[in-house]
Amino acid sequence: MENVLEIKGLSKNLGSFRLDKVSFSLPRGYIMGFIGPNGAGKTTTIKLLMNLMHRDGGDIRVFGLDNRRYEKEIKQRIAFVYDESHYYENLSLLDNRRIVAHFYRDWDEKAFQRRLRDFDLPPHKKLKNLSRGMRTKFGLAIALSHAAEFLLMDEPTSGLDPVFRSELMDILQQLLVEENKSVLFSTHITTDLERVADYICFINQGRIVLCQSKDEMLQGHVLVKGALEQLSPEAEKMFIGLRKNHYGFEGLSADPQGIRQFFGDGVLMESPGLDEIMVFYVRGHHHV
Amino acid sequence: MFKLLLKDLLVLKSSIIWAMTYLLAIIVIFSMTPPFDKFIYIMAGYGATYILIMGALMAEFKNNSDILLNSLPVKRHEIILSKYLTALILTLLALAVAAILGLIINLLPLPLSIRLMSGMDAAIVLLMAALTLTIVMPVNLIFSNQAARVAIVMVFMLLFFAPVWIKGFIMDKRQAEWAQFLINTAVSHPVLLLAAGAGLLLLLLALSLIISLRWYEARDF
Repeated sequence: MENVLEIKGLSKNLGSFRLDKVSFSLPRGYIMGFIGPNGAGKTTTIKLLMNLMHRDGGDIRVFGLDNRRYEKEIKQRIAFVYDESHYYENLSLLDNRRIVAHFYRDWDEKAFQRRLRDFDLPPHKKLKNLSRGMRTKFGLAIALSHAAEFLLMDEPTSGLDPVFRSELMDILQQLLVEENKSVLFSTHITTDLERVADYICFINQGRIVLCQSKDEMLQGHVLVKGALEQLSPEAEKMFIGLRKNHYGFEGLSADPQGIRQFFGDGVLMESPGLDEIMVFYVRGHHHV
Repeated sequence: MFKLLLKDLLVLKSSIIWAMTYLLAIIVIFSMTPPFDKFIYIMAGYGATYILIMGALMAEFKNNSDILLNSLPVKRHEIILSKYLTALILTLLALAVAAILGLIINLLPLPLSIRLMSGMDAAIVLLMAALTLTIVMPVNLIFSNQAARVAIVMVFMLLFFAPVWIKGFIMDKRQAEWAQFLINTAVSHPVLLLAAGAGLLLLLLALSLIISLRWYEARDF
């Protein structure tokens, strides 16, 4: 399978924070959710990918090309949507489009006009008069109008309401079906990804914790709930993270079969969501 | 590079209108106010250039648009080169508009008496703009937009007070050989002195460009 993105041993020291030998790859035509708590290293990784930061070590290949050597060529084929709009606030949407469109050799004006209509965006309105959701939609309209093969989204849904987030997920899903694009979607709101992501890459404290297909990740973990008396020191070792209170325990394990054998029918076993997987990995054996 | 220039012109749409209004106002108001009438093209041209250069820097700062620009298919050195080139083009634009306004006012039957713009006016405005750019651009990149605003005020002070101070200093030392040489050159070959000043300024401008390029290339956003 051809990869649109290959990151190997990526490192960056920012003093108080260090991105530590991050490695993962994204096959063409798939959506990868890049998840992790705030400050985990998602934005740093994306900035390194976009050459907005200089790496200390490692290798980044986009479409098989080194991202520094072939920067311009790669950026012709990449679209981006960031958590904040960096377009010019005092200009109308059309003027902002005039600025950006000239940089892309494959700019598709018809596609842009169609997106403006689809997203209900007022072309003559100044960007500063749009809501946060509308600005994100404008960023997306630009991103989807120059035949990019790889869409990079850094926390595009942060601070947005659930209705817009759901709408955005629909758009992404449609894109994938119709246009076979690849998407790297960074977020700390994991529920956004449950529906659309094919792969999940989970980063915490600058290190990749897990990186696999979403189904493998969900099926490879089990959420266990039971009484405190059932928890022996030996049993505790089977959990990635545990939450205990007066009424019982709740824990995440990456060994569903082992849990089944150990506890039998004595505990309640559920499929975890991405949110729960992330929380237990981040917090570990946290006692409430 | 052309795309980045076009971007600046779009971003500066409202500033251009404001700068041109300022230009017209200065020319009309000071054309009949001696001794300022001698300097109207310098005041108008440099003032408009100042408004446009600061407008461009302010717009980039306000929108944090370095992130946007560096995400587009464009190299960092192109962004910096375009900033310097845009400033030069904006200065030429301000000069052209000032010259045309002067010509129109002369041709129309208005109760205003105004001389036409001279080559010396244009040369002085270009040198002043170059000095502003030399100092303000790296300060804006390395420190902040606010520091650039302070720097531009200092450039203003320098432009207003330095000539008087330099003249006083030279006159105090007029017995010295070097001072006499300078005075003689200023009297007999003023263009030569201006050219020497321009050469020095170009050298400083090149240095400023190198500093800005190196800083910007190494910067993390």
